[in-house]
Amino acid sequence: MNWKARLRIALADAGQSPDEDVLEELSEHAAAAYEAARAEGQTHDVAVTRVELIITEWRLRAPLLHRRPLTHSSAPPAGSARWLTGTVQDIRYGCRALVTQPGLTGAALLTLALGIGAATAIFSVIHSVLLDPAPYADLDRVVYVQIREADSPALGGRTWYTVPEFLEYEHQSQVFEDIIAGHVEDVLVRTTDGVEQFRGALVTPNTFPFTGLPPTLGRLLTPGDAEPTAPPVFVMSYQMWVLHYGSDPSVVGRTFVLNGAPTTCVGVVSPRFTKQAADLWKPVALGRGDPDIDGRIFRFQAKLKPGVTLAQANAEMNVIARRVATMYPDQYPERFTVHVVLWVDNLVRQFRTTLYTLFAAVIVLLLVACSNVANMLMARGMARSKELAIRTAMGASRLLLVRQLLVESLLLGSLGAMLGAALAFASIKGLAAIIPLGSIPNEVVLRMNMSVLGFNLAVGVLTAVIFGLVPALYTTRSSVANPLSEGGRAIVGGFRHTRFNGALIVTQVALSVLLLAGAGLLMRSFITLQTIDLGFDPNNVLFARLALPPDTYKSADTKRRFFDTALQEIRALPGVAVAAHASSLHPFVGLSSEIDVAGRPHTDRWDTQYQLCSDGYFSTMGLRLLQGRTFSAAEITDARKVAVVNQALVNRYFGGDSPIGGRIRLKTLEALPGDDRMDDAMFEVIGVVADARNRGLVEPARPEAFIPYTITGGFPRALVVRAHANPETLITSIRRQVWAIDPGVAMTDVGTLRWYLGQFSYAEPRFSLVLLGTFALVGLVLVAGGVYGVIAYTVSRQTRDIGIRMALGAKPGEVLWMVSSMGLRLITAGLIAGAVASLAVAQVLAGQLTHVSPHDPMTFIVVAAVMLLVGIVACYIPARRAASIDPLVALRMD
Amino acid sequence: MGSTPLDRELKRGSAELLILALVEQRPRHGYEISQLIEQRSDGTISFHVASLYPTLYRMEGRGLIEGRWVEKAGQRRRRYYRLTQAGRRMLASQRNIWQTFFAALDRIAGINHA
Repeated sequence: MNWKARLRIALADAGQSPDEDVLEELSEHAAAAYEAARAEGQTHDVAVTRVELIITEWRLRAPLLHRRPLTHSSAPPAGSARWLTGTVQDIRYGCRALVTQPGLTGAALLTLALGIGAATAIFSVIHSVLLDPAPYADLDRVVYVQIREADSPALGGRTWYTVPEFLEYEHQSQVFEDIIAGHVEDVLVRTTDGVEQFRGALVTPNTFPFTGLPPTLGRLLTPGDAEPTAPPVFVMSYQMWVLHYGSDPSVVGRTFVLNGAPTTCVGVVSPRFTKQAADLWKPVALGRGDPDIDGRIFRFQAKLKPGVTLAQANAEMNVIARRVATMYPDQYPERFTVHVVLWVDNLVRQFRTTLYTLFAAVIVLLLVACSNVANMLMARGMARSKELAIRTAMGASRLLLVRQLLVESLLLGSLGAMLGAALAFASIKGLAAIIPLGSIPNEVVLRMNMSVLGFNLAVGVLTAVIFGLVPALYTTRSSVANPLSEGGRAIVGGFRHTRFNGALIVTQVALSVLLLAGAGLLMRSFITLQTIDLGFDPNNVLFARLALPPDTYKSADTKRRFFDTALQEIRALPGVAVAAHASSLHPFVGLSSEIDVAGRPHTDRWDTQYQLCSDGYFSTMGLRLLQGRTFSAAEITDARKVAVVNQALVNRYFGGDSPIGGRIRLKTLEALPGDDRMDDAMFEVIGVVADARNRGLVEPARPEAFIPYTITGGFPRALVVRAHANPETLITSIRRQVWAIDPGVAMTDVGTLRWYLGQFSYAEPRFSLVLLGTFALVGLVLVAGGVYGVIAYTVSRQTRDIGIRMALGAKPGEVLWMVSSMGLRLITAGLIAGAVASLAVAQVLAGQLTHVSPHDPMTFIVVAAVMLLVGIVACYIPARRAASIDPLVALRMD
Repeated sequence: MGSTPLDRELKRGSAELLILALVEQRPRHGYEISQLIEQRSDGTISFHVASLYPTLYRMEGRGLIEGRWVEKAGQRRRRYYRLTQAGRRMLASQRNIWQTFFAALDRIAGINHA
């Protein structure tokens, strides 16, 4: 009987065609079964029937009758197929393992979410601010040209130029593909409530193609709009359109009265077009000989030609600037340098350092989180040692086991990354709210985009490898026999943690000390900043800039008449202690001028800041009079050329001698355009006041002179009002008073001096402090949890050992000390390592500290005390539990 | 009465254990293995012969046993299966598991095994 042929037909009926090998084996079995039946005495037919029954069963199982691995060509190679199948199984198994231990999984996910979320949030800020700050075309070629005083240590420089200067640079340069210019001014718009002030910008029409952003509505400005005969037009900002006009499309084509002139809105710009931080843009053509335009200063930006480097541009600008300086010497210091700087770099200078510091801090926090999770996985690995041993006994190689554990870590890392992304998304709004005003470009939009999500995923995977690999290698290295032995626990001779757990705790503590030290230094610096003697009293002072219609208030006299009435009325308001005129606000930088002192010749350039003010200014701001007197009302009214100076000016330019009766010349006033110009800007010094900060909070006061505001009609005008109580309650009544005198005058930039300090002086240090402080706090909590976890786990693993000791006479106090000291040794080691590391890297923070050394000993002492206290608490709880173990119960434990 | 999933799982586990145990002593071919299973369990393990070869091929694919064609004088060519190192380890652990299982049954339900 040809059983092989019979089998071939039967299996073909089932749609299978097994290979010859299998057919031969099965046919051999069939033949043996036939012979056995015949040997029992069965007839041929009965024997055949018996074998046919077997063949029928085989036919039903035909798909299973093939040797593995598969040998036909369409099958994947055995190695990769097995790996793929194995990995899928590992993923399924890993998911089950995470679900069956919800406590540990939850703790690990929360820890990872905090670390990865914080890193993602900071990266999103870095990406938005440094890598993608604005959607303008060719951003990597847009530059500013800065003129810096050679002797000045300050960063930055002059980036504004007069029209003649601008035209010279435009005409002479070869390295720029295009140049744009912009000038900011108040634009007063009449509304139903009165008059509203908007920030307007005069821009060269090529500004819009320069940036390459399309309009949201209507059209953008064209060169034709700047022609002398063209009708006046403007384009509106997206924010103004949404906030003030409710996104009404009918604004396009509508005529608005801007500074008294009917002007038609022709378009709404893109949401991220915010050049000059303006609300609206009007076209201007430079070089037409229009004195009104030529008298203004413009900020210019340029786009480098493709292939031109910054160094090449620097070299050319240096040559051109020297040439222009000879043509317009009043605009240039005696010794200066020229710097061509990328637009982005210029805007984010100091903040870039802050961001990078915060990024480093968040990476430290992430490492703390990784060590914490690694400890958790170590503990879990120990608890699974029996399972791993069985798998090893059943043939699983160490590589497969490590793969299994790594897959579980990757699952944790991925889930942690997803949660972290959600946390980062939720925190971005909060971050945007505390980023200091003016520290980042207005065009920046903080958001999570694909790059940020990619970073988030990469961090999730990387952290999984970091916290998962070593525990995986460690727990799979144990021998098979030990975990399978009776009891399954190693009886350790002595109470101790594993070396790996200990190393992780030391690492966590050291990293946390880094964060705490950084936060501590910033906190001391912030407190110091807030206690700096400003030289004036910032409490209960209100500041408001007054935008006066230029056509109505051209001369000094018209402005004087307005302010005389306004100050009189405002001083009479209930709640007002005193009010005065000012041109700028201490401690922020104001007007500056070159200065000469009569009878004191000099060869180097002397500069001073100056303030146009009224007689009540000194009492309003709380400036202390040191010598002589301040202005009288008559001196203000008559615009007498008298000046009060600060002590810094006396020390610098009068050699410390009394300046009373001396004379100073403010040369800038003699160079003002038009009617604002003074023929002779020589002032008699009548008084000396104590220094008040006038270049920010940190730099010492520069020389400053105070002169009557009535001597010139130029410059912005403002009110400062000191109230008896909260000055914000006076805003409405002051505004009403101003409109009662002239409804065409707008009050703008209104705020208390405390608010201004908070926004512009304290905001950046506060930003760093809030974030670094948060990271430090989270790190401390993670460390506390980590120490507690390791000690508690060690106690649980060695309960029997503790029971033995107590049965042999150890007192609870001794057990308490034994357990606690184990943890405290680790914390102390981490503290020392962290302190050394902090001392080494603290210099990074030096630029952000005010009057605090990066190695401030008090900070380090406090940090050490905090860490020890937290460590003691974290060790005490499990140590207490260990000390209360019942020896009899412990000894009976398996 | 139809078999429950537990029955099937037990049967599968026991079939592999039996096969490993049978080839532990010496290499055997498929027909011999099927006869020995029938004889040594007094028919209580109704391991269908049709399931034998799929089980053998599965175990061979997992590296627990290794098949080799042998031609002896006066006999048909037969494929003999022998135990591999991995199979030895598996046999040892399976024995341990089954022993633990029966010990547990013994403690809980007073069941004695043969």
